[in-house]
Amino acid sequence: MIDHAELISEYLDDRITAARFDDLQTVLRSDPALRRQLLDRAVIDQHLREPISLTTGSESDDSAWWNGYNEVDSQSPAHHSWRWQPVAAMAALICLVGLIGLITTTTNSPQQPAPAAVQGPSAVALLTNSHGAVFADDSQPTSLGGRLSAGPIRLVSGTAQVMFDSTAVVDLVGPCEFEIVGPNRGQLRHGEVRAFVPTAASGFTLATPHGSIVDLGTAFEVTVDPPNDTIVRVIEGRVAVLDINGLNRNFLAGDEVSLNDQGIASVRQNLLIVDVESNSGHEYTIEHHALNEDAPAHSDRNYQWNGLDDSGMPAALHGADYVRTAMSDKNKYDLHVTVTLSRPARLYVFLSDRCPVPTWVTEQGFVDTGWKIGLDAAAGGKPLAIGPGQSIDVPYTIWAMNVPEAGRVTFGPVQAEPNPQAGTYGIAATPLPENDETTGLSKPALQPQ
Amino acid sequence: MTEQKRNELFARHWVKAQPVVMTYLLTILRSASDAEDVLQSAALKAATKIDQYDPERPFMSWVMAIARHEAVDHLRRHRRDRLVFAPDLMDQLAADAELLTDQMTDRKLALAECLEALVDRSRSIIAMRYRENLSIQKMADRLSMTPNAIYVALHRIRETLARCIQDRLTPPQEKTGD
Repeated sequence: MIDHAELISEYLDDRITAARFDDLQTVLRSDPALRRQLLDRAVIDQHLREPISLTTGSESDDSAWWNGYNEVDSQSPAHHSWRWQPVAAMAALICLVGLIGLITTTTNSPQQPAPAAVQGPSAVALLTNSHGAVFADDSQPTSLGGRLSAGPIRLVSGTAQVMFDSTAVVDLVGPCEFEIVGPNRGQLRHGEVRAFVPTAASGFTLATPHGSIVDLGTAFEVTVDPPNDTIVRVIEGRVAVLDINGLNRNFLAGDEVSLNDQGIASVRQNLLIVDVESNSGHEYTIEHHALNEDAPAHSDRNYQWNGLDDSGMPAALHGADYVRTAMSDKNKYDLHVTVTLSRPARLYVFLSDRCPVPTWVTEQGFVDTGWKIGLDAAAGGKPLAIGPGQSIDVPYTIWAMNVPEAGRVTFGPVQAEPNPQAGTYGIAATPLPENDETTGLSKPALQPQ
Repeated sequence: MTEQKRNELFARHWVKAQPVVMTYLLTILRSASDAEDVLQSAALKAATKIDQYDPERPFMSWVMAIARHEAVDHLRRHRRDRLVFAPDLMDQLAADAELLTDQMTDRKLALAECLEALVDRSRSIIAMRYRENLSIQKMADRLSMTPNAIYVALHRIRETLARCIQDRLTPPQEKTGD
């Protein structure tokens, strides 16, 4: 007797013989339950391929077995919940927005009847994605594809993505209190949002207690911490910021503006690394103009970058923007870290001398500078030392590439095989000198936005 | 229909349809990368043809027909050597896949719970295959097993997951017959 489940496995694993394939087709034609079994198996395959991480309560869990599956998870599964990573969802959403942009630019607008599933008269946006989202109330639909009316959205935790009818997309990060004001306008009362604004939605306006931000194309991030301040970070393109006094100033990618109830409190400009994303559950943070001796190296360890000897770290790196990466990701074999650069830059990656150079490093276009930097990891219980050449535990080799235009560059995993000696790489960037032809660095593989 | 309405219409429907279309494409193409390529081209085709969609009819059927057409076109151009389902069976599977529309999220959540219930070794095997994308031969080398034993192990684990998911999605009264 034929084992149908085995037949389905052979088919999906692409190892079925022609004769067995004919058998499968024959039984599938006559057996709806078996067709359903085949589809169910495909659903499992599909979901297993998607990025999933394990979380405990509201914070990311270091013991995610996808990341360290060869280790026994010592925590009780009862306290765990699964969530799908926001990165993939954001990519899907950006893809969707791109498609909509395509419609906008490639089709006419013939008059047709409105769709049968009509929304309320004040619906002006769509809930396009959510991840572990917990809403404070049910005043708005919480299911994907739900039409959102003008009014407040109170997100207790998780993330939710709202696409305005203008096609502007706002990613809400809980806890957050946001209000949909109109088809191309929102208000952030508290918390953090990221706005991605395609050309069609240029003019998207986000009000905060301390002023307003008008997007003039592309992307920005806003954090509101009432009653203190509003921080606006321009990731791409240009925004106009209107402060509480009515003063209007334009800011460009790489600018960070702080607003309070007095007006514009401070401006930092020419920030090079303006965004970092990863498929990790761990934190990746940007430190601007901050790479110097004793700079904290990782977000999850009390380690420091230092020069290998008394001469210090390479002078070119002093004051560089850098990313505090997560040491806990050293065994995450599908790690992706994407940095967004506001302008041309020389991008550096520090690779531990204790493990082989990952193939993506040279494939991306990085070249070995021959420079070194050291990690003071306070090994063996000794205290962190101060200054270069003191207490270096692991030497790292510095690789670099020139990135000739603003955009995104993605870094891969630390290693492909288990290696307890490995360490997560460091990332840094410095401005690319104009007309620089002396470096010999090869042209990078850039992923333009 | 205004441009804005058209955009809304597509976005609203596509968010819900995409996982089911992907399941269907994986079923008939088997290769995840092929399925993703065809999913992209189907989305593009649907977006540009949204004017031709009759809102009185199910969006899922309309977009599934587009996906099927794109998949056949892909197979014709790239995969002449593969064993491919006959057209009538592709149609049957498309119709069956549409019935999954309202269950995708529940299935995903159930899978997450069922993964947690697996023993460590089974989870390691699944992670090697789906997270590291290791070949069967590499998995066999790493685990000191034969390739055939790996296939058998994967088959059993996936069957375990399938039963677990089914169990979690079946209401208690149906399970007990009460």
